[in-house]
Amino acid sequence: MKAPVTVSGNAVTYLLTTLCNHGEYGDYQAFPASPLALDLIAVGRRLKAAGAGSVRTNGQRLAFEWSGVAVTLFSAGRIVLEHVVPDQQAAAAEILKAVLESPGAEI
Amino acid sequence: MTKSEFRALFPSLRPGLAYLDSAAKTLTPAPVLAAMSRYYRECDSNVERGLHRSSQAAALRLAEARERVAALVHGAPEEIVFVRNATEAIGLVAAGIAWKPGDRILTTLAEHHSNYLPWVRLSQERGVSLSVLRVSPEGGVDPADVRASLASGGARLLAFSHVSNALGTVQPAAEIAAIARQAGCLTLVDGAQSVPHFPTDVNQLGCDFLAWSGHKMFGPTGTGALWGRRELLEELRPLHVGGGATKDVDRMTFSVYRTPPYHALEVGTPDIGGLIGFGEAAQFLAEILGEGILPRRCHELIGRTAAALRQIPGVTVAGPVGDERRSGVISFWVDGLSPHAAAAALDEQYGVLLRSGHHCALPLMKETLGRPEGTVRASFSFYSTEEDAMRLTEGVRALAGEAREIL
Repeated sequence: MKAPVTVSGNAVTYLLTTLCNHGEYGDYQAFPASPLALDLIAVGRRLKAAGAGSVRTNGQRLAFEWSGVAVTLFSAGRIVLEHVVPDQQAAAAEILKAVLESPGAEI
Repeated sequence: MTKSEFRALFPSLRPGLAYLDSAAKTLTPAPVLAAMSRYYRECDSNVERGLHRSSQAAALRLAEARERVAALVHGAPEEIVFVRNATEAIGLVAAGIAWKPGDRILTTLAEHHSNYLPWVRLSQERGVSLSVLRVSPEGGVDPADVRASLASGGARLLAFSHVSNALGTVQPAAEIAAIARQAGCLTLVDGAQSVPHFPTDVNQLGCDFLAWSGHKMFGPTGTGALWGRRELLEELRPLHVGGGATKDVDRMTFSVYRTPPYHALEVGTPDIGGLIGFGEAAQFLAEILGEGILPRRCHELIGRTAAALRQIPGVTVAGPVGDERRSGVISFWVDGLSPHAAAAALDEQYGVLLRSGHHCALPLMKETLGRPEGTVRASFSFYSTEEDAMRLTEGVRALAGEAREIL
């Protein structure tokens, strides 16, 4: 499904895809229609200040925990969401918006 | 044909990217695209029952496609039923056999869901009992287990995959089918991952049904085939009834054509262009398999790549250790990274296109590997190169060894 979000004041359309998963939680990937250019270190620091846990980066990939969801965010905007509960695309879309529209996520 | 010449036939190959997802879908070569396009340009008509020249031309090309698909597995055209994919082929058998309560079906833990769930559903809805054979940590089925299970009560059908889509394990299919035949048990072989990689002969295999997909052997999506022994196909209850298969209809009764068997089992207008492409792909594959060089090199490349991945600290390669028992697929995982995160990183950062998760083989992942989250799966085809393999191994090496700044 398409999931519109606002990143740093810009409207961005994401395509949300359900990945292989099992049990009670779901795994999802969201891919922006056009690549972004995220400063992951800056984004990571701000998301940590906004409550993200276990924030780690190698410069090209940012991994953290957000409300129990394992998030992997790439500088071009691709995002993998693992352990989303409930296992529904709408729940994944909410997490996507919460992460990208938080005060920390700026292009 | 050299590797370069072969790769030149695939317009979707991109420089700088390693396409290692051929077990999900092989790329489509120009001859197949051309055959499909020619149908739409030269005889864009429906087949069967039409007597005008364009319909006849299309019907002739479809008949030739059936001959080529049959020839690929050394079967006869009337033993081929065109379907949309291996899932549908297996479903046709599952729904078509006249099951009785108390019938027993045998399958294995190594199956793709498409060759597992139909049997589970039958056990839940039709009073059929289902026995599931364990597999080794490498994904192998032991023929002795098959023999013991059949000796303990017989079975009506044994359904198993020739090659595991998740681990690449090649099963001793002919030996297993022979054991089943001796016990009076029918066999259905899921050939989705075997037919594309090595020569398949249904007579030597000794099975009763063989299912495979066109989109995993250089054909278009939406195509596949069920090969079956003719007398068995004639007895299958069609999944659908309707146009194309009907001999006569009164207000409350109808009769269908049962010979050739595909008349009753292929109902409605098929994907004519797609099936013509499937036939072209069958001939294309038959020539490559006959020559043998590219398949052998692919197999060797897979073996070298699996060995290289095993050398990387923090990386585990699943499936068979010996090259002779592996075909097409390398499943692995990287410590500290979920399969989805690893696959996304390999795509995003290293240009390696592959697949992650349980690969529609959850019983195998849960019970044999103890990894319900699955693995990362790299799957090769005859266009895969040393550069593809190197891009994969270097990407995995980097992921396994990278330092991550804690913010």
